[in-house]
Amino acid sequence: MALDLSGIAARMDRLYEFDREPVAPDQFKKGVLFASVFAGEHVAATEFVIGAFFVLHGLKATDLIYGLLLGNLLAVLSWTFLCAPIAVDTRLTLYWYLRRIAGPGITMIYNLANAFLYCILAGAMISVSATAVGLAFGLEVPGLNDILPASALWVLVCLALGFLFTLLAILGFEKLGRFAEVASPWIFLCFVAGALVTLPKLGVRPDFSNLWEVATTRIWNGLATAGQQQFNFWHVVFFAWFCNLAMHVGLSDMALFRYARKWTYGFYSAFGMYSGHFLAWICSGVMVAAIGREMHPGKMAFEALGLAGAAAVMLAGWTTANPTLYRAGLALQTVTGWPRWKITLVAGLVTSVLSCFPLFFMKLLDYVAIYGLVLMPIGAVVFTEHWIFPKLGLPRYQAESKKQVFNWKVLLVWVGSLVFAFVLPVHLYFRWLPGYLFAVILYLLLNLSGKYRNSAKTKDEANAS
Amino acid sequence: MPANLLKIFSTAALAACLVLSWFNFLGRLSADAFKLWFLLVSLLYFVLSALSLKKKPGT
Repeated sequence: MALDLSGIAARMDRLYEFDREPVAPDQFKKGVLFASVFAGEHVAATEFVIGAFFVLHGLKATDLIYGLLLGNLLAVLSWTFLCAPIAVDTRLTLYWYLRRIAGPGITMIYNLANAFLYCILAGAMISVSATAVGLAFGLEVPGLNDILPASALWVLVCLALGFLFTLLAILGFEKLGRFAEVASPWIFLCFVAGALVTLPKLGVRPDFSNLWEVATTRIWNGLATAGQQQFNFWHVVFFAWFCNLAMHVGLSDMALFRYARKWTYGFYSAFGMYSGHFLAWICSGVMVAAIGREMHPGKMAFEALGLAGAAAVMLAGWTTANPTLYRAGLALQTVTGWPRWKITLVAGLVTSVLSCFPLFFMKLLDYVAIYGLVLMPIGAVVFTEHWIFPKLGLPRYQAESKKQVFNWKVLLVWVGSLVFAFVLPVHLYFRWLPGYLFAVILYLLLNLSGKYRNSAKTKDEANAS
Repeated sequence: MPANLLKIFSTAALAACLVLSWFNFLGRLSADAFKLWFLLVSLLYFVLSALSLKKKPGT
């Protein structure tokens, strides 16, 4: 059956119709809203895993703290100087802006890639929740290097949770989204309280006099767990920076910042970075150290807070997986044209199956890196077209003016910069930055060569006439 | 009860959870008692927050 691209594009446009027009000034939001959105979004189930992995990767306490301070600062600056200015300038979502630059075909591919990556992320979140639910059944959590599920019970718990999350996502995203608003401050509190009550178990005295000594010898002591790569300061800096790469450098948070009164609202992202990606990561590191460095989010929260801790892990997994399933469903809906419940069901089933494979949960750090890397070139293309093209006198929005379904230059840059990034002989975490610069340069060169070709052609025609 | 009052009480429940963990850290509250009270106050927080959301105008 031939793929009806124009039909898909029309469906996709209808789905996003409500935000087709630039946001009007009367719809601009106050800065406090941005602070709360960021603070709520960045305290999730992933935080239970990432902070714990930093301990397993043998980081030193100083490397972790300075690395997180710098990496999160770079992330905040990326939101402020890359994402927010374009959003405020255009007042459009990335979807509509990319459509003008790259054409509906590329936008569709971008949506599909996003949906698939979302499904894997949601699957990892279901696995995290399974570690909490599994405590009731004495479930054995897979090992750090496991790829396939280790037991039938693990598969059963993951599938059951996956079906439950999917069902809830189908029943109503908006109401559940509001529940997530309620849950997120409590989940953050669970991180802080869990770490606080764990400190005495690690030998910290009530006057905190030996806190630093315990931190450097019993938590972030610089010794990696067997089979885990040794991390240093730069791993932390780059991880904290690219953890939300698709959102800031990849520009998907244009959807949020188009409501900002001014571009400086990007600084509000610090509320999410320094609560979730600093404090919560440190807290989960403290908790994992107290359970003998076992990668078991459910157990570490249960040991610290009892049933409330297990509930926190379960809720954190669900509140992360729920919007993720919803977004994946929306993206896939554009291609299939099925009703939302049906496509969310399919996305949920795929996600539930993925959640059974511990690979995604146990390699979450690498997955986060790949997720950002795959979507990053699109951010580079949009940045180049928005800021650099006018300075070089290059025409913008060629896909729109030429009515192209695919802007092949964008496709070439996307694929080319990914190939470039994947063959770079450096650690996965350090690949995105050269890949981003490569994408900017390649996109410029492709368009500059086109410009000179066109001007040479015009000259020839003038001479001939 | 007005939504604002519910919001204040739910915030107070969160603060109470933090105070409980502080007492446990100081050794003034046993681990078992802390876990039980933390759970109960957390439940109270969710009830109050859910009610405050329901009472929000236009929801």
